[in-house]
Amino acid sequence: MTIRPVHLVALMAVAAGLALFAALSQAQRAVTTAERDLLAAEASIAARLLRDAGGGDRAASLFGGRVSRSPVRDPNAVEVVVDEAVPARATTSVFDADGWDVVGQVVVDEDASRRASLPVSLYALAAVACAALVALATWCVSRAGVCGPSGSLRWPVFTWLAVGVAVAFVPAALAERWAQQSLATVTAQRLAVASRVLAARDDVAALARVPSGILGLTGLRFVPTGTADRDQLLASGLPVQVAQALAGASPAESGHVVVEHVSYATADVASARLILLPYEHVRRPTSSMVAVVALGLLIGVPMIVLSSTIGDARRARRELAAWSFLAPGLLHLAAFTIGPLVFAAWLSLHRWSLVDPARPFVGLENYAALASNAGFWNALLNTAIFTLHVPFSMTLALGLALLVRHPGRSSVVARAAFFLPSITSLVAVAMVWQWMLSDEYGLANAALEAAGLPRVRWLSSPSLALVSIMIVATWTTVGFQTVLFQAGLTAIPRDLYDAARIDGASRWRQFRHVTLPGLRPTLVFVLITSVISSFQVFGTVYVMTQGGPLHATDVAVFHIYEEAWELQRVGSAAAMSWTLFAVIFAVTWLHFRTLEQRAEA
Amino acid sequence: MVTTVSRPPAGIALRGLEKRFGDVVAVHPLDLEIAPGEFVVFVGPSGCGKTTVLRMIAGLDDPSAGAVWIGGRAVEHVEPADRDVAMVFQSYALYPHMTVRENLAFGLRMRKHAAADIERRVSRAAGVLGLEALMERRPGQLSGGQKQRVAFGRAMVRDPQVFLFDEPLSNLDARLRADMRREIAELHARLGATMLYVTHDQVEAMTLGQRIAVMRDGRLQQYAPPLEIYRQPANLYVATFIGTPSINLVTGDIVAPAQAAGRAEPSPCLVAGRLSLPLASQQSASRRVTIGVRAENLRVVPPGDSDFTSVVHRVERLGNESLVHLDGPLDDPWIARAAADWAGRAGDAVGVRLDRQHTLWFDAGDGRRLE
Repeated sequence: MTIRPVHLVALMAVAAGLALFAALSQAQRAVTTAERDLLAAEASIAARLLRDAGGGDRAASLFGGRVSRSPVRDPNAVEVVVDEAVPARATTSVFDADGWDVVGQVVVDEDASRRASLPVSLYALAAVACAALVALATWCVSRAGVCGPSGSLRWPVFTWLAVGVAVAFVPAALAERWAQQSLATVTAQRLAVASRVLAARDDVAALARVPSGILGLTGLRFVPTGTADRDQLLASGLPVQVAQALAGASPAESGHVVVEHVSYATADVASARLILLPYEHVRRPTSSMVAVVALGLLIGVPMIVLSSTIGDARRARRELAAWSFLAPGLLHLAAFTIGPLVFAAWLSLHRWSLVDPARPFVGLENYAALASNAGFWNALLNTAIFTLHVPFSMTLALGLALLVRHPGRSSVVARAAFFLPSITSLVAVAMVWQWMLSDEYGLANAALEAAGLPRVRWLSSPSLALVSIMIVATWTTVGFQTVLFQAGLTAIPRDLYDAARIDGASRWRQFRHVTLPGLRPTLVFVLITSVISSFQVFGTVYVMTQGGPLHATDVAVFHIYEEAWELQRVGSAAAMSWTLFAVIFAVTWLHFRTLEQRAEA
Repeated sequence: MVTTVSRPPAGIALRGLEKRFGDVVAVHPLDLEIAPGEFVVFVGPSGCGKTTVLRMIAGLDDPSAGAVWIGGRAVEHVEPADRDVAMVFQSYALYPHMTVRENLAFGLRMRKHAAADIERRVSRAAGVLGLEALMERRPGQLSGGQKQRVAFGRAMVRDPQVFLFDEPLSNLDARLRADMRREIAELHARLGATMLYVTHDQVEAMTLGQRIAVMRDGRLQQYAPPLEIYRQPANLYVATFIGTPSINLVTGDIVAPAQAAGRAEPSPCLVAGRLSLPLASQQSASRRVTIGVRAENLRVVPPGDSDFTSVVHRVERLGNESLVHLDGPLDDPWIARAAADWAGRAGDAVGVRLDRQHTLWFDAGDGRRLE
């Protein structure tokens, strides 16, 4: 087929339409989900009220005619179920007073007046923006200057396309703003419902003291605060800093507390202050950005790829064939390498943990915090010290490779023996070494004792533990390096040694002037890969010392692991990962540069 | 032209030199004398042991038996570096990370020559070989011919008593090879050093060598000046190995006069198919004899007055001459040289006459040449 300008324009129209529709419906979905959650909360509040005497009246006063009770017993319906119909309704079971038997069901209908839907004008605006973008693109493509003499798009065209994308950004941004406002309204409604439920009780202070007491009553995740409630706050699953900040915070006039980029809605009921745990009112400023970036990519990439093939069926076929061959690899790369990389970068700009639903954007704070994070610097320093084992293991490997250089049965056996550690599970190796270096029962200390020497606290002494890890790392890597060196040695022509012998070079000088230069590419390769992998050391530390004693073996990757999974500070851990990446990149680049330059000189 | 040799060249003697690799005999006991200043070429097919001989002379391989004498001293326990030999390798074996200058100077530096002396020798070699413009380049940036020159230069700067060349031209294209051949010959004339040259190329052997040692399967076949090798090959192998196109051979029986009754010859004859040739002398005791005639010693004549009749299959016209492919006495393919404007064509019936003077006789059994 021949690619014509009209194809490109059609492609762009589809892409732009899809991206804008995605951005808008994302906003609508966030609001709808929040509304449904509120409905579910209302259903569980109603069910809870109905358990008490006179609760029916109270529920009716709260929800008006929206609540209805049926005696149907459904032993399976124990949770709140919200159906997806419009208008939605939530159904949940009513339990008897002791919470054992299901005595009926309660149904709460959605408050139709409350439902917020994205203004039609926004959709219209999106359509206009889309049309504008397409028109702009059509103009760009149809102009004779789209394809430069070399077949590539000219820069002015890109500029105009950028303008078009910026125009398309407007409806996305407006939808985002609408979603923010709607969510704030929903939050206010949640807070109001809960306040009214609690206001009707005379035991609010007592309820507030019982963990999850208010949750049971209102179905909403509140943190009550008061003079004595600091401990309870700390037990709420929030990050420690946030909990402490919330305990000490006084609400602003609007009834909000903002802690670490997250706004918490507050309400005073009787003597207790309630803080609504963050939910959908925490907005991610990124969703529309993502949509627009996707839009740009969707438009730009096909333009670049296809613009050069306009009107040329053979090139179009070739291009298509090339891309379809590349596609599996590219998709794999995108999904498993670039994707996680970008996700980690995104994480590093947020406060993010599995347990806390609030994942606010914090900008570069995670990175800024690293500067004063002594633990991380200690880990980096330990990693740098650990990397010093590389020259030792390389020297050892080179020596071994030279020893078993000449072919023969013994060299084959030796080669296999050297390589064994590399094919053994690292965890198994680490566990065996842990036993061998054990203070009490270790082989190393037994040998020392047998020789009449004092025991050494290999892994339990802060000054020695890292050295012990380095010894283990040397043992595990030296075999692989030896095999690489052997391969490198076989590539050096024998004639060079003969020539050097005739030239009168001694064994040392043959090594210096023939072996080392001939091995240089291998040396550079082994050095760089070894340094990189030593910066990534994790397994041995995890198994043998867990970073201890006293953080003496706390290396960078292990520190990152602890930050993410033990301390649940995933954003900070992601920032550390990127910092480590930058360090490794810089070190590698430096290596390449100095080694290349010396090779040039 | 300035002569660059500061010392008299050394002669080489090989005494019963032998090399075994396990059960395999690479070189059978070899005795050879090389005069000071002589250019000797070892020639033979690959695997004939010629390179092994060279490596033993250089000291890179130890002989299994026998001895090498260089300049009147046995060098059995002398390191390669101290034998005062220089070697040029087939692969050139230039140090890839050193510039041309450093490559040339390396051997001198290893020998702790003074810097000024190194500089003098290197620039002299560079001048002789035309390397001045390439001094700061690395081997990777040189063409094959340039690398070859550097390899020569590295040998030259040492000013050794003996040069050893191990198939130095086999990695070059035909044109460059011819040029380098000339340069090597000039180099030898200028330096006057003893040179040993190993090759599988008979043209190199014939053009360069003052004497040629033909080897086969680890045995020396003949050791003689080029023309003698060509005209009086010691055996069938040497005869066929040297010369292009290959020598024409035919094997026949010696027939007594009585048996040859009805023929004009009064003396014993060699009878091979259509060819009947009176014996040149009473050399052979054997009943079967092979004769060899080089292409230029055959004359294609009209069918009547000839040694045997034949049919032309193909005529290769080379411009300066024509090569006539025709049937030998036993209908085996023979080749004769003819004038460039020879008028025959494929399919012509012709006669062939042999130049009796230059017909070579060999024992068909052991291949020895019969005098």
